[in-house]
Formats: sequence, structure tokens, C-alpha cells
Amino acid sequence: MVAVGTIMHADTALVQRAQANDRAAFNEIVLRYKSKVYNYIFRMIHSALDAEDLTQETFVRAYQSIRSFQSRASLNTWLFRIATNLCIDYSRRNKRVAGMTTSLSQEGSEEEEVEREIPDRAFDPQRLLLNKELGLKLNAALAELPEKLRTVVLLYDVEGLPYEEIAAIVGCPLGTVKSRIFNARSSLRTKLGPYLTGSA
Amino acid sequence: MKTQQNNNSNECRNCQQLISDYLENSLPARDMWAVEKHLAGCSECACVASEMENTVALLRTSERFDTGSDFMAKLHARLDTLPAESVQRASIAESARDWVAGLQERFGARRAPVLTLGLALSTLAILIVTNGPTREVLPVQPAPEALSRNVAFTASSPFDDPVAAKVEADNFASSESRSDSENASSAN
Repeated sequence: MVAVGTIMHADTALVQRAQANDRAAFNEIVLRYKSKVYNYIFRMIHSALDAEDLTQETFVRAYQSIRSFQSRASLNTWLFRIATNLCIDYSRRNKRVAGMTTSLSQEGSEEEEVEREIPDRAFDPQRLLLNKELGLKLNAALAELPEKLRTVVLLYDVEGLPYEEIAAIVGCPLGTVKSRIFNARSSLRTKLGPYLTGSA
Repeated sequence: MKTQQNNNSNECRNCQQLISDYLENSLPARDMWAVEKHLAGCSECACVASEMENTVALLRTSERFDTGSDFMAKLHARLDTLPAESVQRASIAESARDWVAGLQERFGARRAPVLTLGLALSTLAILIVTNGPTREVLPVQPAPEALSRNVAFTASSPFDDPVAAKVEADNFASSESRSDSENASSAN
């Protein structure tokens, strides 16, 4: 909690300097948040090139409107809100998310057999991290989620934002955010479950 | 037998609804205990809980992606080409969006639209009241007289204005008939 407060305090100081046209302070903001924003956008739209463009656009817009930023919201929330709006605009433009990932339902049986050899009852995240294939399965499962569910589960479970910040980003009541997270996790569990437990 | 199965499936459904919060440790103690008790006796729900836990762990430990090494250079190139006025002032739409978002944070997402609508209606009402058509306050008089008096302000001669001319003619006709009737009554 103290760490979060310290980060917010540092952010506020940076924002004040950036509002006074201090480019170095804005640089610091970019360096601090670019990876988080990029990771989120990449997982939302599944295109490395477009994710980089949208991340750039997020910070350009932040730079343009930093003077109107008031510290009611955290800088984190504000940047993710800009990024989320850009992702929504992007997916409206490209109705169908580019299929960088393969659909779970369209896999060959051979690949399926390989996957089912991997898991065991004792779940070891470190080991799974090394497993590129499982990462691809996760990406595919995320890509198949409806955008609203994908947004909240990425913000909560991947980026680690609290419910309140997510509610502010997506403009929904807290209860809706919680229910969307539950639905997203349930959907992912249904798709990934066999690969995680080895029970199937 | 069937009733017991229904009870079990209801219990399972209830339990599975709570599993996500159970894994977050965000349930009240009583619900935590109920879920734990159910999981201990139901292998199906225990499997669901285990899969859910693994799914969450997978999400939280998933590979992270980062920008290319030239990200900052590209960004600076873009920022340098921005016109100065676009940096000085945020667009009205962005300001409005930020403002509404601020309201949402302060008053909650449910109340913010109502507040915004209320404020918009109040502003509209104030604008109508302050910028509406101005009315000159005239003493209450019979309509033709009031009108002819107004005409005197706006037209140098009542006959410049056809409506005023008609009013003037009506006035003349009524004064004529009034004087006729007065003459008749005095003659009587």
C-alpha cells in the first residue's frame, strides 16, 4: 500500500512537471508505463505492429492532453483508459481480430496429444512459463473472449489493477467488473482446463 | 433421490459461482467456510476450483511483451512534429470525456450519467433564461391601443406598416361609431 502511494506521489510530481512543458518528465512517464501499456494493447489486439502504433498513439494523446489531466484519477488509470479507447476504436475498424493465434477448436489431433502430455496435477507456473505452447493456447483463448471480458481480465489478472481502477477505465459499476472477471475466467478455464490439469 | 441430485447440482452451481472470489480470499468468512466444505466433498467442484486457480496463475505469470528498441526515438519524432496548439489545448471532446470520467470516479458509474444529464439540463435552462427573447414591460392596456402604441415606436408613420394601418383604420372606425352613438344619444 505504501509502495502504491509512493508511486502515485512520484507520478503526480512527474505530471506536474510534464504539464509545465518538461519533456524529460514526460519521457520518464513513458519509460515507466510503456511496457505495461504495450503488453495490454498487444494482448487486446494480437498484432505486434499495430500494438506498437497504438502504444505510440496512447502517449501522443497523453502528451497532447496532459495539461487537462487532473489528479483525480491515477496516471495509470488515465493511460489505460486512453489505451482501452484506442483498442475499442481499433477493433471497430477491424471487426475481426487478426488471427495471429489459432483457434482451439481447429487444432489437429496430433498437436492435441502433445499438449495433453504436458500437464500434471502439481501445477508449476514457472514450468508453464517455459512452455511456449501453453502461452499460445492462452493467447488463443484470450482472443476468443468477447472484448468486454478480455479487457477486464487483462487489466485485473495480467496488469494487476484493482477493481476500482478497472471500473473507472471501462466506465462500469464495480459489480459489473467483478461479474465480467468471473465470466472471463470461467470461459478461459473451460478452454484451457484440460491442458492445465491433465484430466482429459 | 432426484431431489438430492437437484440439491447437489444447486450446491455445485452456488459453489462454482463463488470459486473466483474464493480464490481471491474476498468472500465473507461464512461463505469461505461453506465453499471449502463443499469442495472437500465434491470432486467435480474441486476440479473446477483447481482449473480456475491454474487459469488465474497462468494469466498472472504469462509472458510479457515489450516495445521495440526504437520506440522512444519514434515517439520523439512524432512529438516533435505535433503542432503547438494541439499540445496547448486538449480537444473539447477529450476534456468532456475526462470530465465525465472524473464524475464517475467521484460519484460512481451509476450516478455519473444522471448527474451529467442534470447539469446539462440546468445549464440549458440558465442559457434559455438569460439569452431568451427580451420583452418590454408595457402597462396593461386594451390590445389595439397597446399595438398602435408599439407601432408608434417602430414606424414613423402607421401607414408604413400594413398591420399598423389596419389597426389604425379599425381604431378610426370604432372611434367614428363611438362618436356617432354619442351624437345619437345626445340628440335623444
